[in-house]
Amino acid sequence: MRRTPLILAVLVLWALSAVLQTAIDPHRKQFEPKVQGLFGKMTGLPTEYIFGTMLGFREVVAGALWVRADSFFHEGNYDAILPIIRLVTWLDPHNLDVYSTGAWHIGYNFTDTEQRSDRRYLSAALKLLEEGVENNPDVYDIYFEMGWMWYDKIKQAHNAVQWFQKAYDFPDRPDEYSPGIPPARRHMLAHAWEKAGLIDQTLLTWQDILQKHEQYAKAHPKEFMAQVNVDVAKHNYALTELRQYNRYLKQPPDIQPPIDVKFDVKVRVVEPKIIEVSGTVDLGNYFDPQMQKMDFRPGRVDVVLRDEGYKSSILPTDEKEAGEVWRQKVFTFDVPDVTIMQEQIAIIKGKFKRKIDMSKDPMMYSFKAPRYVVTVRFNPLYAPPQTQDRIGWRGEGLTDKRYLRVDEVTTVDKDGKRYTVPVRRVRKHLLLTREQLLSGKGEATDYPVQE
Amino acid sequence: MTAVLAIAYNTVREALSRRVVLLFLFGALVLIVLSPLFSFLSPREELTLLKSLGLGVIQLASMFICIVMGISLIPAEIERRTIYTVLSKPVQRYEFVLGKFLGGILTMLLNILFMGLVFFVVVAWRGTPKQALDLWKGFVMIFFQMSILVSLAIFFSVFLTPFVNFFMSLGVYIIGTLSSVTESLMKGENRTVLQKGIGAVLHYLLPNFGNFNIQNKIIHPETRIINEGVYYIQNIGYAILYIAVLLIIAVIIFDRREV
Repeated sequence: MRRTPLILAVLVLWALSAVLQTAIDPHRKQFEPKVQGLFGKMTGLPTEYIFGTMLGFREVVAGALWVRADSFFHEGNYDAILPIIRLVTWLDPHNLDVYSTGAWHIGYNFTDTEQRSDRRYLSAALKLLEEGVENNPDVYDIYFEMGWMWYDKIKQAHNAVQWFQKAYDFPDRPDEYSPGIPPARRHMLAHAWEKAGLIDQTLLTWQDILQKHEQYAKAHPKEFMAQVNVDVAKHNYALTELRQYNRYLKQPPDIQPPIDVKFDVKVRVVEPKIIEVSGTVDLGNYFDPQMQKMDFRPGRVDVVLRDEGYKSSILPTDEKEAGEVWRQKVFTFDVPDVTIMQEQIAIIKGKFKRKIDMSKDPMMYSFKAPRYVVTVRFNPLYAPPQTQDRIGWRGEGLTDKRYLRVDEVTTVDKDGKRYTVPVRRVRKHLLLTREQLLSGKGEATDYPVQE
Repeated sequence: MTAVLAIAYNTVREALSRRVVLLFLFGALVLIVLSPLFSFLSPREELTLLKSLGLGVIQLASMFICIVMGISLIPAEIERRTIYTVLSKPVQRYEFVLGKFLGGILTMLLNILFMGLVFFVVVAWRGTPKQALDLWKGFVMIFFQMSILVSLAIFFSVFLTPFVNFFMSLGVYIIGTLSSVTESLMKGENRTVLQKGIGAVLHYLLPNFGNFNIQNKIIHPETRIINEGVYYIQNIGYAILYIAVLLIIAVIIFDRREV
């Protein structure tokens, strides 16, 4: 057999395979973990995990690691969970459960002894979800989770709208194995528009949801939940329309004249790192006397304590200049070494009062700054509907001689269209010093914030 | 061609009667059937785990079957001296190598089909038949991946002992599955010229088994892959080219070998 032509053939074929490999490389990345040099980053993992990954069991290893993370969570070993979440999303960037549950762990479950979540981690939770969206743009799940994080945890429905819209754009999912959005989850978009104070958009969305549900029910006549969804959408649409009529359109509307809530707040340091927040939001005797007897709570006030100068737009402080310092450029578990405490206090018979203990968790409340700003506010957008029946969705029916603030809340939808509404809130800022907090004595003084 | 087919037929018969091959096959089948029991590892995403485990088991078992079978396809004939009988007939050496390769990949095909069928039933049972049907792309890619491995084992077998061949084939397979690592070594920032050179050699000279690992798409069918069909065709083309390279070199060496 002549060798030369064979050797030439080998060279040509090998060169062709190398050319083909160059064409394959960019495509291959779509099937692989997103992180280059992942194996180097797995240092510290038990060998069986590394071998398992190399031998084609990447997703199995990711699943096993995730179960380990779950057990750490139940043991309260939160620090161990964080790197595992990172590794699992690297190993299997399409594992939706890790993004949604991981972000939930980070955003909700790292708490102090009184179950107040560590707000410094919210930025990490949001960044993880952002990564999840980047890696899984073709499923509704992570868009929805992102919307939920803004709507429920951060309580900024105006930022949730665009994410719920993106989830809403997916077709109905008839069963758990098909892509698309479960029909009932569409409702969250309408709820988000409502909590953003945009009622016309809410009504339009309910109309659209109703239409979609009716089409779905027609196509799935035997599905019980399909008809339930139609009924719920009809009910919610009618209720929102009725509320809009009662609150704004009828003469005189229920929300007029505005009630003076006589807002005031006192913050005292009662023991080292323990403060007592008390005050008044007199929402009046506007509700049914029967409900008054039932100890009906017309809402909650938000309380935030943070280092002076630390401004963040994901805290319920509403400062106009609060920037995006919270935003992570690259997902990391390193959080800023600042003290942030956020709490809600129920309003009972026009008053609120609560002791807040920050003494047991020095990792969360390091108190390294010399001064701390405490902000207390009442936000009508997230008030219960019975309260909104008197003060309106956007607080049009409340007033206050000293602490009324009219904020412009802007919702940017998924297409970039902006909707700005004025929201009337009451808000007060106070100042505490480190000495006061550590000595356990002293009362907060008014803190002038230019608003 | 008749000679090639006859050698291939005998190779399949022989390979399928080997206990070690059957042992790997049996072990894989047991693991696939029992895989639903491992759903505790990922309770909320049972199918994710099931598919990942099943495809991983098929790939791993196929790899061992390929290597164990491939390293002995030619040496066993030499050891038993049956090769003299074969080559004394009007059979060219290249036909012998080709027949052995064809027999090897047919054996592999049967194994993958058998494991795939059982796996298909398990996935259809725990999920839906549609999800089970999605698995076929994975089986095709594993088959071509293993075809390269068979040709690699045959290539090494013409000049290495089976013992050394086993580790060589396994080593090249493992390095070959790290396509992204070799690529990042070659293209990554802050790399020395030497590192880049080593990366390029590993990436282009060794077979890229990592190209064929498409499990993630099958495990997460909702993932959208751009030019998915083109990718599979490119991979099949790559496998054919690489197999041709290895077999031609094997033929050249085998042709000069004293048998």
